Amino acid sequence: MRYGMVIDLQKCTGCNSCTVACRAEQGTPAGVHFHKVIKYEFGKYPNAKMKFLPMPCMHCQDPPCQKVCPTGATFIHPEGLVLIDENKCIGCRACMVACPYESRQFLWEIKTYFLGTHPTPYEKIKQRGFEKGTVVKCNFCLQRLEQGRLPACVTTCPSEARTFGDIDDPESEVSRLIVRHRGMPFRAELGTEPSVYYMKG
Amino acid sequence: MWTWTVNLIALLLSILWVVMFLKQSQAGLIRTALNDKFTWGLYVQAFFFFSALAGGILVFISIVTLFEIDSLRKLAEIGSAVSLGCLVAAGMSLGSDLGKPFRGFKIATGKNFASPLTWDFITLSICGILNLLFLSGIIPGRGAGAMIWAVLCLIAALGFVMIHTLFFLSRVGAGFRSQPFLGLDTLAQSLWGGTALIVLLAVVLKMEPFNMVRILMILTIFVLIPQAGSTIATLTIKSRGAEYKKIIAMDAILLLILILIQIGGPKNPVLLAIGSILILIAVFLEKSHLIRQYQTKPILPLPYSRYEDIPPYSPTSYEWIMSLGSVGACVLVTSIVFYLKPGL
Repeated sequence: MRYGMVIDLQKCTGCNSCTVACRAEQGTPAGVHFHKVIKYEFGKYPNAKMKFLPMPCMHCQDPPCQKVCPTGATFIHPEGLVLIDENKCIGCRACMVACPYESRQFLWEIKTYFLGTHPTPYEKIKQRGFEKGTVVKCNFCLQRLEQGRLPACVTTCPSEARTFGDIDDPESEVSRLIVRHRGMPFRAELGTEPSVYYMKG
Repeated sequence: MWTWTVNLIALLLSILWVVMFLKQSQAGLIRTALNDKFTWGLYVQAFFFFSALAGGILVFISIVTLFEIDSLRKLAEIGSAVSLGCLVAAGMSLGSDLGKPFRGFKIATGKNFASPLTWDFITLSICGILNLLFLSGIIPGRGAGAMIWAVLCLIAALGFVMIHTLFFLSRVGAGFRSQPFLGLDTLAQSLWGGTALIVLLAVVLKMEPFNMVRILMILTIFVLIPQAGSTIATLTIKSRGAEYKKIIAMDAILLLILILIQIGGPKNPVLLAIGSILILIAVFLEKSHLIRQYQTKPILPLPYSRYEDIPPYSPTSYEWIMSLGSVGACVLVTSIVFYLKPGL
């Protein structure tokens, strides 16, 4: 069993609803986003296009971040997710230096969304799990997976650009899409074996 | 009189470090100018600097012990005290940089032996213990015990100096140009800085003047050659070439100064002190450059990083004061060892 995701880049419109859904689900402090959508230009005038690359954590199977973590705070879950044990994290940020996808963020401070006011009840509840001085990242919404639900970014995508499932199972929808559309991980040449694949890019 | 003044300043700086450290522990690393793009700053630069100096001195002590050079034994003992100070300062610098400094001990229990930081912790701890053994007088001047100690010390010291070249390997893997002579450069810098500090000590303690300028000149050439090699290796990259040229120019000027000292007065304490201080500054600047070069550019390649902006890093007063505090602690620890060992 290895959880993975396929993102259809032709369907992605760069609306950032995945980023918003991720923030709402994880309740990340202001300025912290586990998911980002990178925009870039493609081609030359008059045929230039604006393209988008949604980037959650790649949940690599050979993750450099896990190798450099001196305390073992970064570990690989039996189902292939790369997770952080915040109680073990010492905030050395070696994992941030090592990650070639910029998937990690450091909690320099816990900021609220409304400057100069107290945290809202929502923030109070959601931000309990965040500890200043530690590193955070996307966990493929493990809390939802444990309830049999899909990650928030997958459920919310209005163009249904994302498919999530077991990439170890050749019969699963993700595996079929990867094979049918020759899905490729981002920067496959690095040899980190990401669990996020892109197609039609 | 000046000894007391220096010790008093060192004590004040150390106290200031403690106060700032506690304040920073409460407020978090938001007190620094670091950000998610530029994650390692002045604290890590200071850590690399102090550990390089400690490594260089320990290599010197190991060689003196291995070759049973009795004439330099006294200087080796003094060097050992300073290297202990440098190790303490390195630990303080690293501690300052942690988001959760009070969890630092978890490095020992993490047992992730693939991590360079784990090996850094292990080798630095071994060096500290070996240093204390040397200072306690348990290690004899010659014989099998001395040989074993020297070999262990050499392995541990060279170990952590070389580990510092591994921290940015993943960035190299991610598409950053590697510095092909980084290992040799790091080693040469460490020996260069360590020797310069020993020369400075010898001058300050008015020890028998010995001609160390030639050794410093040789080590300067050892530092220059990898830099020149790196420049040749990156001739096709405009920005990288310019960065290396500045460092090469600085090292070349230092070599010229050392040649002038050798001609003008190789035993002149003032000239020796100036030369040594300039070398220490150069080592710090080179460590600083090493850390900066991998962080001043976006990690993702073009075109993905086209709209990415890395904010310029300029250390805050917190960072400067705490780094100076670790310098103070280095001097203070050395002075305490001198006080506890009157023979030094």
